[in-house]
Amino acid sequence: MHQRRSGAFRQVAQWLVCALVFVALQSPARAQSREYQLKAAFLFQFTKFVEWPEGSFASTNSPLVIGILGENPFEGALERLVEGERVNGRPLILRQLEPDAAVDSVHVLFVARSEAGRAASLMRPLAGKPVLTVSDIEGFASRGGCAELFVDQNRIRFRVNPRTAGDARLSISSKLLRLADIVESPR
Amino acid sequence: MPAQVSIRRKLRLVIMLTSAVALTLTAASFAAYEWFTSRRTLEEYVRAVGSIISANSTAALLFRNSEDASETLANLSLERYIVAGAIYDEMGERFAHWPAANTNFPARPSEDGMVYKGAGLVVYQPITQGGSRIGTLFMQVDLQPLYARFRLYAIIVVGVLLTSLIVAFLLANWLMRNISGPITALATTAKRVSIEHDYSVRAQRQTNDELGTLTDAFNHMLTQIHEQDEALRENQERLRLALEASSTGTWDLSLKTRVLRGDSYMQPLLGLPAGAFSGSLEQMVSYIHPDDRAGFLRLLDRAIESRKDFSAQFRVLRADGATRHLASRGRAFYEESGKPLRMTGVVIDITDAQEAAQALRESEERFRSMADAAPVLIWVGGAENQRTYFNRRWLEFTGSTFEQQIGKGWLNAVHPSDRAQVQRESGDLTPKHEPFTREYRLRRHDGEFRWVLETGVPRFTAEEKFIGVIGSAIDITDRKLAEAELERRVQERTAELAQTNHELESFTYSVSHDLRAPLRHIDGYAQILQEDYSEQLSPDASKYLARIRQGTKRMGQLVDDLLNLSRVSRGGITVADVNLSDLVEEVVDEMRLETGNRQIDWRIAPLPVVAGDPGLLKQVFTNLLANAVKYSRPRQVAIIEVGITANSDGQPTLYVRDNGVGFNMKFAHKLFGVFQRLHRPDEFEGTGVGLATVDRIIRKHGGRIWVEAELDKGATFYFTLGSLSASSKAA
Repeated sequence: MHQRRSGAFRQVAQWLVCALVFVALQSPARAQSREYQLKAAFLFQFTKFVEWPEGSFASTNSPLVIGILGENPFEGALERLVEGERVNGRPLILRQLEPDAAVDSVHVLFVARSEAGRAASLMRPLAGKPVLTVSDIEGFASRGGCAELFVDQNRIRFRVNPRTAGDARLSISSKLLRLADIVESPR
Repeated sequence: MPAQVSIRRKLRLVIMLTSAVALTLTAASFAAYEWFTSRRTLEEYVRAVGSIISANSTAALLFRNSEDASETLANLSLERYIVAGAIYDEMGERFAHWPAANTNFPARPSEDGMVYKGAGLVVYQPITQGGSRIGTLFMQVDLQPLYARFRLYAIIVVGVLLTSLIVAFLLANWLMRNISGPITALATTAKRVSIEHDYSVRAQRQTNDELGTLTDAFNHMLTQIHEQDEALRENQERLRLALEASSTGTWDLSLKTRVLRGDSYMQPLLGLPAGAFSGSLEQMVSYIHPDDRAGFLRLLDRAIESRKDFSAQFRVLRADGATRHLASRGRAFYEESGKPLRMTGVVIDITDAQEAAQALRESEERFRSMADAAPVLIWVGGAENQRTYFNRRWLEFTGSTFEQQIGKGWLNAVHPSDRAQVQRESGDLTPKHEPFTREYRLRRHDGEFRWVLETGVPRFTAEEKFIGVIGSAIDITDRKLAEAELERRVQERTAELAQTNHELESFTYSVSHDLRAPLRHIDGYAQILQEDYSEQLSPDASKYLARIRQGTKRMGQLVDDLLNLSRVSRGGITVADVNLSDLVEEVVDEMRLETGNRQIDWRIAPLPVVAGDPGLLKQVFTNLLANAVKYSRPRQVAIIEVGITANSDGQPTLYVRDNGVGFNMKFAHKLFGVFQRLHRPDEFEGTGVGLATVDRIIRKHGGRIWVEAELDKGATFYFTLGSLSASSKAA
């Protein structure tokens, strides 16, 4: 099994290595771009450590849909990552959502920084829906999001709100949780 | 195991060796099993630990969190055997390691799997997430604790082994007493038997197991040996007597030292006194006739080389000067390596047999020379009609070789028409003891078939078993031709004679017939003279006239008889059944008229009915009975017998006997000739034709007549008839 390594995965691995080596050395503009490349990789990896409840998919090989709300900051990096990839046998589909689109039709929802103002209102209709909400908006996890990406000492890290995820009936692997900063939403 | 070691020690050694090997093998197999299973267990254990570490490292790897990976690796410190661990990412770069102080890790991961290196085990395991490989786990396992356990294990095994051996040794010593005790006793007895040759000792039976059986068998064997020893001694004695009686010498030749030892019977064969033979092969050879020495030695060498029995006949010049023929047979014995060791054999004097054989050869040669020199064809045949010998004359005659004629080949030379008969006759010979002769045609070398006359004598063994025929043959073709010629001439002459006879009879008939007329004239006129002129004739004239008439009458009778004889000779016979009794009675009745007052005692036996000519047969009896009446005239009482008897051949024979004057038998041969008479006409009248006529008639009837008589004692006429003997045979 280890002999057969998919080309896409190798690409991911190369990305990670490049990111690790070069992220701190690049110019700020480049740094901005590198940062989102890594964030795209993290977003993609999240799908591997999360289990959606029964009924979230039409069938066992229905695609896993990643929706992006707001201004797409990945500059095509995410598209390249998910292209041809499968997670637990499901193809991955990337969808750019319209501002007023129904956000509960996706499995993963990335909220771009452009939507920082209305993030809280956006979250409201998603309460109890099995959608993994991810964003790099400061304080996203503590304000109703599932996972929040942030930069700490030149490294991308993430926070997870287990309560939100539990409300969304999402099961997040303990392996992922061990790497995450756990946050509580205010009561 | 050295052969002289006692059975006790051998048994002990066997037990100890067996126990040691069994225990060692058991311990070794346990150790090997332990070795393999503990390693296998360790491997599985390490693999399981590796799997746990890998599973817990996936997120850290994917989210590039090396601190977390290092923490996971640190869990390895809880494992006793694992001393180091590292995680390599997908690109083979080291991502995390434990312990932190150790930096001596492989720069890049090797191929997946486990490799034993020195006292350690190096493990590379893949780290996968969702079916894809995302890195490699490296672990270093220290095997020292494992090996320490093995060492302890080995010490325990050796200890157990030694303890077991000591126990086995003690146990064996105690158990062996039951086995070695009886065997030692048996061995002591056997030693006594072999040293003292005392077969009367017996071993003591101590147990009831196989050793007890062995002791019994040993004792039984001793009894048998004792008996066989006796039998052997007896046989040797018999052999000695046989050798002595047949003057057979025995010898034994060592093929290594060429020492020849002969017994006391061999030396006299060489004309030596007992003990004078020194004992070397060379001395033996020096007695052999110089012409036979080389052959003798060659046969000896060949027998040894070819491993066959030695057999030779040779002459010896004995010390006493005589030359004798000896025959010797021998057999060589070889070592296991195949080298000849010695040869032993017998020798006998065959001079007498040789001389007998020589005499036989000479006799045979003599027979052959004689047979070949003989002018006749000589052959010898076997019991099955096959022939085994032909003399030179036979082969020359048939112009073929011995090989062509031998067996049944000779039959090819026999004329095809005669072959079957010759073969049959030859087959018939077997049971007969009589010599035989036969004629057949045999092809001569020029292809002509010649008649041969063969004479054979059957040959039998002393037990009366038929073994064949010895025979000879001569060419009789010329003789046969001469016989045929003679026969032809006889027939010619006979025919001539018959013609002459016939003519003579015709002549006689005509003469006789023609004589009757003048005779009648003479008698007629003489009668006229007597009757009409008797008064005118003187008494003398009348007397002369009566003489004339008497003479004429006699002559007439003679002519009649001759005519009758002639008729009988010329004429055929008319055959009918004739009752001889009636016939004889009729004749006797006629006779009585003439004999009148004579006293005649007729003794007529009953006679058979025969086939014949009635008239001619009546003439026979008329003549014979008339003769009987005539020649018995001087007798006061004539006795005339007619009867039937058997002659010396057993043939029925009729006879007519009288007690008349008889005659001297030296004239008997004349009796049946014409005009032959034994008496003067003035004694007994008669023409001398009657018996000749009788003879002719009887011959015509296929019979013969003869007479027995004595002067003054009467005569007996015997005769046979062809039909009489034939009918009596039929009856």
